[in-house]
Amino acid sequence: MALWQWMGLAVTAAVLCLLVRQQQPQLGGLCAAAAGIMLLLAALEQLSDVREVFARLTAMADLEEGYLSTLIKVLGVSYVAELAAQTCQDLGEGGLALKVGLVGKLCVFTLTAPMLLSLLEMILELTP
Amino acid sequence: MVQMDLLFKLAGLGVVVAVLCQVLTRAGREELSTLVTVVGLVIALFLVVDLVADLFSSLQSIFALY
Repeated sequence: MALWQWMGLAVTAAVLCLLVRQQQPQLGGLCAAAAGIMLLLAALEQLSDVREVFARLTAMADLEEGYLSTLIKVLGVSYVAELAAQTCQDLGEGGLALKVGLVGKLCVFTLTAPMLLSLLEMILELTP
Repeated sequence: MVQMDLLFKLAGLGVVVAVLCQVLTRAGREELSTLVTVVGLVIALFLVVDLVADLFSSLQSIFALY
């Protein structure tokens, strides 16, 4: 399982960042951010087969195709927003991290707005 | 597998820049030591930027975020 490699990477990266942060505080933060990005990159390959699972699920439940693609987009946007926010946090920019989180939430909302409309229309049809 | 060598390159760069700065400050050239720090940081940024670039390209391909 590739999990052990990732854990080993995380621990060595922490030790290296400790070493570098002592002499060069800017490089230490950068090294921590690089290690985090590498870990997420490694975890991303596992995610590629999640798409087939989602596709089969929607086929079984014969949902509309649009919902699945919006769901995957929302997943991607929140993944990227969380990644950027935590990288900013690593480099010591707490305020920036919160703002990036806010922008991520905004993007998710704009993605799901049409779905909300179709839901409301469905409800209005039900009521007499 | 995950590029472990990038991490060691960054750490080595940090140590080299730290040693150079110490030597330069001892030799009385403070302005050069700040210059070396900035150059070290720029090299580290070059290393990290292409890592971020292929992360974002794989994200786009997996989540169809075009």
